[in-house]
Amino acid sequence: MSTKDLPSWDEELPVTGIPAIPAWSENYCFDGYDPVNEAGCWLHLGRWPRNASIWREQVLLYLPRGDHLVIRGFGNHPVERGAGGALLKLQCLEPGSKWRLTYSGPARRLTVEQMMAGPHTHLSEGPYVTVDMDLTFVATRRPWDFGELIGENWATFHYEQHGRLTGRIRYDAPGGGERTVEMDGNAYRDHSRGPRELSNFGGFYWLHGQFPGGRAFSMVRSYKFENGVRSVGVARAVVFDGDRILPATAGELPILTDKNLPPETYAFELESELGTMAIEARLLRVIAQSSDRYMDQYDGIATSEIGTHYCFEQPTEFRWNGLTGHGWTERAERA
Amino acid sequence: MSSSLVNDEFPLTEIPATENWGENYVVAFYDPVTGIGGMLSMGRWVIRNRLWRNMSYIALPNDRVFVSRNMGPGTDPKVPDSGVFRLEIPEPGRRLRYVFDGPMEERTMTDLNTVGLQVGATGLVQFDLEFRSEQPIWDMHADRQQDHTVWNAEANYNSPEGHIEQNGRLTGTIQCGDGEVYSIDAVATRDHSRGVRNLTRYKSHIWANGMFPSGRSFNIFTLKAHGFDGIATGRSAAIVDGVLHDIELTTDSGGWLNQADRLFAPVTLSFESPTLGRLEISATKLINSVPLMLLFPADHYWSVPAQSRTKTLTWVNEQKVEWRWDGEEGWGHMERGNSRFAATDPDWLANFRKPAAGC
Repeated sequence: MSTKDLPSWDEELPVTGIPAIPAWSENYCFDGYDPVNEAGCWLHLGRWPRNASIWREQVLLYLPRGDHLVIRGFGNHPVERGAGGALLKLQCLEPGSKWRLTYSGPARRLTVEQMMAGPHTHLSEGPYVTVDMDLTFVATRRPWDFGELIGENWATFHYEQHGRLTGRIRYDAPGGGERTVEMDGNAYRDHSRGPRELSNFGGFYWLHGQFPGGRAFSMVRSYKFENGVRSVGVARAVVFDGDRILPATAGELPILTDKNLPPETYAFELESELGTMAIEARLLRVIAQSSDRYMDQYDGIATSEIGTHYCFEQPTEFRWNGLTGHGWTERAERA
Repeated sequence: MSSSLVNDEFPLTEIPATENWGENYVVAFYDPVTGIGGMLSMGRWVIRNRLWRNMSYIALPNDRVFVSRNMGPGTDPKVPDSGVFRLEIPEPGRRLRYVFDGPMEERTMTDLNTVGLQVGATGLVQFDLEFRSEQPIWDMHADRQQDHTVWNAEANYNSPEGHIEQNGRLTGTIQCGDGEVYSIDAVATRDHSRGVRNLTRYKSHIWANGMFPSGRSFNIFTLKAHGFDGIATGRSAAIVDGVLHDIELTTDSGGWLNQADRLFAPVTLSFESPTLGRLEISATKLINSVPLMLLFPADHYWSVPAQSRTKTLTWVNEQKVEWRWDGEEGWGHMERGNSRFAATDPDWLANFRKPAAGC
């Protein structure tokens, strides 16, 4: 697949035969946020590396008034032209351009205070409420294809794509009753295949945003940590200008320095043939999670004894050249 | 409306749109040779009862516990199926099959009881276990009138539309941990229940069962509830020489968990029976204990409420037990709780500072 082509059905849909490769996995991720309605999501559906026939679903929901719901589940319910875990269903409606994302089931309420109460806030099990989510992702730009990734610990096949998420989320409200929130916001998705075993995880930075007028950007930088030394794994960035996808170089990144809630703003630059793109970011929301080497996720901040890394998933407002755009900041560091 | 589930083993296909209505299948087992026991529970999630909820644990010696909970809609109306755990009923009344292939979270029993289940890393667990029994089925609601306290909605805890139990054996293989494979030959009690559950008035209860090499066995469910003096509801049975006998817990019986620091203290259950006379069945050793958190009115999780302190939360304790009845040693399961306890109480935590506890 090249960046000029849409992914084919074979590239979009889950593989039909799972390779006999240790820790092999296949992962779909969607993120999006509507700053007007204060609604967003980070959805992850991936084959569980401990048994790749089982899909692990993770649904993080950002809801109005600072409300957050989280669920992680396992299952393998088939979805026609798509992938399904226990209750999360991802259905491809048009390859490379349109997906329907639904979830109907339990979720657990978390507060930022619980997630960030101290240096280690690994949270214990708690009550569940119900959620019904029905969202549609429509691509706004062509996919960005990474080509074959060699020597990486998280994928060998990977592409990403800007889009927009619309739909609604119904949920049990704090204190009783239920609420429904409409969502219409910038969004992003990726799809990857290949072994994912993160014991040498050294850090991960995934930033993307879209501006009015056709400009957008995406960047990924991963780090490995081996023999006490941190080194860069993948470092890629692109600038989208209308229909063009231009290679870019990212400047200094907003590196996490500790497990505390990061500052609410940061700035970074992208260099491309279009010149310097100086971007200011304001983080709108946060869900903190941690993970082990197979990406089994914890709520809150885990210690290094039980997790390989901690991560902040943050809907973000970006400013560039007098324009205000929106996107996402995912930052993870070794626990 | 009550009915017998003795000949009604498969899940109800027309699910009532009644708040907190559920249907549950549980098997509790213990293998005294391997020291492995657990409780495999598949029930409808009362908050959205079209979903099956797996809520299971397997306890190994040396403080190890695997817990699992997940939900799914199922695909076959005759097979409760959460996605990674399914219950097949190949021979109603005699044979049930429990198949699991998916994630469980390994934690220490001590951590589960003192800090709660911290959601996170999982490991692959696979088991294929079969329950077999030729024993009579105990219908907890048999011959009861609608005005009996069992049916009193104020006191009801355990499924007014029916509850049956059967004692037997559970055999098969469990694979877990780092390539560990265990062959299981366990004593086991399975149940099946239906109806609305509302635990809001819950005060304390005992659900216990035991099996003995001679073939004798017993089952008890009894409950104390706010708004009732003494025992609000309950019933017990013993099976001797293949015959089911009604037995009744005496008012002075031990077994209630009245003190937070007595979780592993031996107790004696005392019964009176019109056919068997007085029975004394002692829990001589409480082998281990796994906490099941209750969220009123009717939800539950593997944990203790260590990070949440609302009045709508309490927990019960799933314990493997070494029983003694007329000098004969047997094994089984006992579930007990007390809504007055707090998971942060030093008396409660003291249960897990004793070196011998649960090991």
